[in-house]
This record gives sequence, C-alpha cells and structure tokens, in this order.
Amino acid sequence: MYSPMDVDGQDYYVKPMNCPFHIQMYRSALRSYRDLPMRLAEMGTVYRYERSGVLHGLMRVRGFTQDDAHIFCRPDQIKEEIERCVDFMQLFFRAFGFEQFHVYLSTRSAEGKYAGSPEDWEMATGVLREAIQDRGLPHDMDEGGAVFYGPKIDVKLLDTLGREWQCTTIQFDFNLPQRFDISYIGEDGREHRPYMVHRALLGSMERFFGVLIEHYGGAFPLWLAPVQATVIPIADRHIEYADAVADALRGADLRVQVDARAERMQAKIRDAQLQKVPYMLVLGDREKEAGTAAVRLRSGEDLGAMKLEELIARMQAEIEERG
Amino acid sequence: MAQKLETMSKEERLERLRHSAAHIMAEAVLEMFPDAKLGIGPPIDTGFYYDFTLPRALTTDDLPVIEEKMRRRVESDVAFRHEEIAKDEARKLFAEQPYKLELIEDIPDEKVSLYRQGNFVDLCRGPHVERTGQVQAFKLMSVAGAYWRGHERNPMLQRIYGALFETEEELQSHLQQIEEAFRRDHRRLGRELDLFSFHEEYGPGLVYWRSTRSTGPGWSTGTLRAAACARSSRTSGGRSTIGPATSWCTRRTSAAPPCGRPAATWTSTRRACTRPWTWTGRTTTSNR
Repeated sequence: MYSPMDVDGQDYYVKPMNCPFHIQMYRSALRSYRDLPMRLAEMGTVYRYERSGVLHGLMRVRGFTQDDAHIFCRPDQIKEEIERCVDFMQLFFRAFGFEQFHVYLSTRSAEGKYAGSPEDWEMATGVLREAIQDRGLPHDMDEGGAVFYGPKIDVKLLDTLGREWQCTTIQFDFNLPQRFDISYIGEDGREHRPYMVHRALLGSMERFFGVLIEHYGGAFPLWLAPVQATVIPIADRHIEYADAVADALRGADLRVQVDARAERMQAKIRDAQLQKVPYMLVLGDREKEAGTAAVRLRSGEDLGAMKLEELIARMQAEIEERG
Repeated sequence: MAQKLETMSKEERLERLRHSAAHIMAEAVLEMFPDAKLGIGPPIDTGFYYDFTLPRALTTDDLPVIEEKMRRRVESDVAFRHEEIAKDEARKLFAEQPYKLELIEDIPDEKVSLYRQGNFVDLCRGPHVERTGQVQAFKLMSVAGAYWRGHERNPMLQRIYGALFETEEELQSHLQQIEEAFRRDHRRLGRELDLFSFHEEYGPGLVYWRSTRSTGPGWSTGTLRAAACARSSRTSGGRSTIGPATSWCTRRTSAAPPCGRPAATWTSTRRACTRPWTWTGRTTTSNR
C-alpha cells in the first residue's frame, strides 16, 4: 500500500484492493434471500508497493488490474456458485489456448488462528475439492497453505522458463462478512450471514498478458492479434486501392493497417512477418483490376488471389473458431 | 581417498563438476589477467560462476578466449588436491588476494582448507571431482556485475556465468531452452511488437498499454478488457461495477509499518464502517 495523500485533512489511499467497495455496495440496501446470489464484478485497477528489485516486466508490477468479483450467496447456493467459477475459469483458459496449468487447493492447518468455524471450513474445502474433482482437474493439496479467512483454489500458469505464476484464485472469506456485519433476510424473516467468495480468473491482467505473450511467442491467434492484417500496396499507384481494401476489412470489424511506406514489397512483407501479423494482403495492378488481394499468411503459406468477401468470410470464421 | 564420481547421486556429481569448473575458470582468468583479484566461485542451479576484480571490463568476446584456456586445462587432466594449512600460512599464500584474506578472517578454525589443481590454488572447502579431465560439457554464458558479498556498499565485481551439465546433450538442450525463452521473453516482445512499455522516469513497475499504430478499432488490453468484461457479464450473470480509485483510510498509529508498508486501517466510507478494515499486507489476489 502506498503512503496516504492529504485531502482536506483526511488521509486518502490509492486503492490496493476492490473488496471493501463491493461490500459497501452489498451493504447499501437491505438484502433478502431472493436477491442472492449477488455477483459483483469489476476490472479493478489497484496499486500495491513492491520492492523495485522484485519487479519483473508485466509479471510483477506496482499497478495492475484484476478481473475481480465478489459473490454473496446463501449456503444452499454455494456449490453452484463455486462450480460456475471453475467452469468459467476453464472457459477462459481454453479460449486463450492454455492447456497446462496447475491447480492448488489450500486448506487450514491443525493449529493457527482462523476466521469461521471448523464446520464452515470443512464444508468450503469439500465444495472446492468436489468442483475440481468432478471436472477431472488434477490438483495438488497445499495443506495448511490457506489464508486465515478461508480455503481457496489457486491456479498457476507456467512461463517459458517453467516458472509458475498465479492467475486464478477462488477464495472463501469467513472474515469480511462478519467484520462488516453484512446480512440478508431469510425466508424465515430472520437475519442471516451470507457466504462471500472472492474470485479473479485471469488474476492480474498485466501478468496474464505477460504469460500470454510468452505462451504465443508474440504470434497471437487471429482473434487476439493486435493487427490482424497488413495491406501492402506494391507501388504508390496502389495506395488508393489499399485504403479501400483496408476500409472494407475495418467495416467487418477487423484490425487492419496499410503499409504505405516507400519500401520494396519484399521489405514490407518481411516487416509484417517480424511483427507477427497473421494476414498480409499484397496489392498490385492485377489485384486492383480484379478487385482481389494476394493473400499470404504469417506462416509463409501463400493463398493466392482472393475476392475480398471470400477473405473477410475466411477471417471471420477463423475468429469465431476460438474457444 | 576421494569418493568415485560414479557412485554418487547425480545431484552431487553435478555439484562437484560445477564447482570444479569454477576453479578451472578462475585459473584461466588468472592466466589472462595475472593481477585479477578473486572473489568466490560456487556451483549454481545450471552451472557455476566466479567473481573477479579485473583491470578492464569483460565483454562477451572474452568468453570464448577464457573458455579455450579452460579446455586446455581440461585436456591436461590434472588432479584436484585437497590440503589443510595453518591460517598464518594461508595469509601469506593469499597476500595478493584481498577478498580471500577477508574470507580467511571469517573462518573460525585454526586450519583452512585449500584445493589445488596444477599451479592454481584456491581457498575452498570443496568438494571437487578428482581430475580436471572430468569436466566436459560446459559453456561460458554471460558477464554480469555483482557486489562483493552481495552488499551494495562493497566493490562491484565482474561475474562470469557458465552452464555445465553431465552430458553434451543435456547442455545443448539447456542452451536451446534459453534461446527459446529469450525468443519468447514478453519484455522483449512487448517492445518489438509495440504492445506495452515502462517509463522508469515516471516510476518503475507501472505499465503503459499501447494501442498499436493506427489500426482502426485498435488493440490494447483496454479492448480485451472490455471484451472479457462483456463476456464475463454475459456468461456469469454478474453485475459490472466500478469503484473509486482512492478512498479514506484511518491510520493506525500503534503498529510499526510491516515491511515498508504503512500500517493502516482501510475504510471505504469512514462513517458507514463501524468496524474498520485492516490492511494486513494480505490480499485476496496475490501479485506474487
């Protein structure tokens, strides 16, 4: 956490976590059992102090954005909520092309002080374990590795050097609901304490993208590529047609750039390959005449001349294919 | 009598081989720079290093030269010999080596342990392999700066890193892995592909996401964030919120700041919160 700033004699802190705000939103009204589950999500940017010596590219930074969510629910809903989190996590990992990840289940140790009753912990640990076992996810136990407020699932992705970086976390919290005294009115008309779950799937967006860049070596699949196609006019007289082609692709929500530099075509193709752009569209007299583009892929494959509609359909289909 | 290398665990064999390679490298560096002052040279995970004070800065061009000198020592296949001598004698032996003299003073025993190979002698507890000829699959990797004993107030030494494995195949696969890791290093790719940048002059560890050139809709994590967020809401049935970036905190004065963080209690709205939120340094989503 960073030092405070003085605003009208009050100490203000830059946000190091999102949880208290979500709790305030929960607390802002009387909640009934019918309002639950309440799932609050935020792409929340937080700032935390890290020694400058431990900073490492995107993997460890001082300001990062969490895909953070807090789930408040009734005891009878907790199983489904945890299962949804795990399913959602798998959906994300599949979409981003991660096959390999390590799941850790952290439980309490026999000694040590913990929030919540042993029965709460047993229930929560059981729900977490079942959710990962039912889905056939191999996992390691981290006995005694839980934080004081509840058991959790952590998922770590590997970077190219085989180092593990924590991404997903799904955590029970038996501490905050009690501390902030949050409740809901049950069917019986009485006040009950909801369960609270913290959940971040990608974890830190910065770190996740760091791992993602290394995972793909910068050669992102089409749907993720920053520039999906580079349009390469062979000579100046083809620039106008190149702009028209680019516009047509942009009209189909594709990310396109035109390389109108006074460079040779071969140099432009090489640069686009170095930039790991998936599609290169080379345009000369013949293409301009026929209303086509000579299509080359990042892999070196030459698709020959394609009609624009044909090309757009192909690219869109490739984008749709993602997980 | 020294234990045979073949009877040891792989781990122990590698440790001895790497440690011995460090000595051979020190001997080679001394041949190149007779005035070199020697620091320490232990085995590490994938090889070894040795720290030196030298009359000039090393470049990567020096590494093959040093490596060649090492190979000649390996070919001559001389024995590593262990000796123990009195401290006084050791002080004389290492009179020209200030770092070694400092180390000698830290040794509680009256005797100090040495290892010799050929004309080279080093203050060392060992253990080593029997002969220099056993050191085979190695390569000098890089030069880096390192403070003597890791203290920034001490002199900066030059550290030469080497990789060493039991077989040439293992060494080659390690080198390939390093090359692949370099090729995929997100810091390098981030720069080359114009994905993000850091600007130390505005503070380290703070990311600038770049919108790559003029690409129509553009790309940055902003775009992806929005996509992930939309997908998140659609799929999870959650509600997207945005909280403020700063808020009040009541400072707790009693506790000493743990590890550089100011101890503080954190309340999002002070009046509403009867039980203050305490920042304990633990957070739900680890940045570690």
